[in-house]
Amino acid sequence: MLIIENLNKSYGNNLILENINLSFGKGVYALVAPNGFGKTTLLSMMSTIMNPSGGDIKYNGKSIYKLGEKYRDILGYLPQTIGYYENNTAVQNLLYVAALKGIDKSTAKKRIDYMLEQFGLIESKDKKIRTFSGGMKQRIGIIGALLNDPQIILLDEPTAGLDPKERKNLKTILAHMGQEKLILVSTHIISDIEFLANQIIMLKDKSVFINDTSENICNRIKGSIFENVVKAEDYLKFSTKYMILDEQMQENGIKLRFYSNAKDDAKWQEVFPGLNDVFLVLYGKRK
Amino acid sequence: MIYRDMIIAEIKSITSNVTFKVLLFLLVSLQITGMFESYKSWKDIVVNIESYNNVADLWNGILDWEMIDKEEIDLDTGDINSSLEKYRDITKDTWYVEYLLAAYRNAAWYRNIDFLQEQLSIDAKKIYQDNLRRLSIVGEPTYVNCYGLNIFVQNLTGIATAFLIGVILVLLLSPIFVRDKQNSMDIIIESSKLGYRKNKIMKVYASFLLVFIIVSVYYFGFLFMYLMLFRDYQSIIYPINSLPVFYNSPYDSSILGYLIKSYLRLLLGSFAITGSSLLISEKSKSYVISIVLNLFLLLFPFIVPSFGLISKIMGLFPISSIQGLFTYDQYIGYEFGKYVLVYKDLSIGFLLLMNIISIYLICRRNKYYVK
Repeated sequence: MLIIENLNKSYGNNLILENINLSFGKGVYALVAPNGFGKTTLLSMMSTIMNPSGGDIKYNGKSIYKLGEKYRDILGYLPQTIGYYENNTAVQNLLYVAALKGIDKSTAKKRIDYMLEQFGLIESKDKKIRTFSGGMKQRIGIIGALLNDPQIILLDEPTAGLDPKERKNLKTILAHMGQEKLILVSTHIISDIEFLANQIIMLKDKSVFINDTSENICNRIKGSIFENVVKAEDYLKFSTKYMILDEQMQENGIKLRFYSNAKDDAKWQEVFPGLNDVFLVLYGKRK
Repeated sequence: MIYRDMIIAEIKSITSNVTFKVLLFLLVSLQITGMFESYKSWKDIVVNIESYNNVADLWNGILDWEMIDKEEIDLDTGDINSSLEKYRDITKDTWYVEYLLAAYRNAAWYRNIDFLQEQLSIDAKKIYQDNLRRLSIVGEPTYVNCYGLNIFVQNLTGIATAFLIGVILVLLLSPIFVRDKQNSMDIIIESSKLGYRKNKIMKVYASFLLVFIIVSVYYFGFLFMYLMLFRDYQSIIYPINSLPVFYNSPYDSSILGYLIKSYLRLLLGSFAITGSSLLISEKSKSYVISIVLNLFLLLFPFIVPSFGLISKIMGLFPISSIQGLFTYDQYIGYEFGKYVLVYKDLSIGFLLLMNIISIYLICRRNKYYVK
């Protein structure tokens, strides 16, 4: 469906992405990396906002940059920072986005009502955007991205500002849509995509470092994640020796989740790694 | 259909601005106040004018200096001198009315013509002689009902109106592209089907359409109100040659033609402000820079006075193009039979060219941009 071939991007002499090769079919994909690792740059190129310095992105064998309008017609893109006309109502904003997407007004109105209902905003449809909370604005942005019923959906940090209930709702909608469409979710919040994405793409050192299923990725560090309770006075010594992934205060000390190549102590309890552990180990600065 | 929706959406987003509503209210208030003030002074003047018209009727179409009342003729030099003080400043609104009255006293002027001509400024003398010549040749009684229309044109193209229209347009249109960049709307636009270039075209289209609607409703709405107030419906079709009061365009064939030209100047001048505001907005990254640059351009002729005459003649700067207060360039031009192509007429073409260039610069395809 969508293939990225030898993609490079640099700003002047500053290389941002190098030799990216990926292929996408239907399903939910997650693009994972800490901030500043080139996720948004990659999505910008995939949404034709930015031209690559080298390589190409092809949709059904044709360069998306040559397809232009035809490609953008089947694209839904939620940028990291979303623009609104704050003095317009939710419906007016969405009608504007619908017009940008080339949807005729009557179809747009029906679709907007349906999407507002799905995202729990139908009651606020005629309120001005400036009165909306951050979560409400984010949902309007997501609706805007999905208005044209796109085949390719690119979402950059879609859960930012959403409360747990809204996150769950979004995940349900994306999981359902992922059966028919290509969805690529860029995030650094692992819990958002851990059980949602069929495929996880991790960027490191300007390139694709891992491109695998969640289960396979977790298996890569299986046998290296442990939990142990240490006394407060031993914490500093322990944390300098091992990579701490999580910690929790308990009555008898601090319960630590950590990474170690070997089980150095019999008291340690081996646990099955999660994606969050992989993320921290891979990009880990936290010790 | 899609584009229409988009244009409507753009217009709504522009007009939802509070600044727009406040300034539009000020503009309309200014015009209504001006209209009623003019009406009040007109009521006083018209009494005198009617008596002069009666005298003119007695001439039976032939100007006969001998028939003018002795009292009218025997104005002493002191009176004329004090009157002339007013006429020297030809930018005054009331000049043409005073001039009309003077035209009926012209026997006195005629008698002292050498002395008077020395007192007049070069421009005023030219106008005076020209009107005097035409009065002598045409010799028709002067019906001054068209005074209402003249006030209309003067008020509508006056400096305060021009300034307010200019400021409204600058404040409304300067943020139009900057806003998209600042609130990241440009990302949504660029990644949507129609893309940034078509969006720019739609924004330009919507802005020009909005300005066209505002200027047209404003101009013709108030024209209608002036006509109603001065009950002067017929004078719109009078040949202008019979109306020396209409000194602004003595060579035009009719007041209607004069009104159309005045409307075109107002419209194209407003379009020029629109074009420059949009162009600067498209190139700017902040509201402040965009608005300051646009206001600077708008007020350039006043900031640098020595550029005033050149800019007015060439129609280079929007505010001098939409305000018709200065008249001395009316008589500088090329004569084609009875019609004189004055520089202000040329400025209509010049403004049109400016608009085409600014639209091209805004909407041209970026070579780095994907189709």
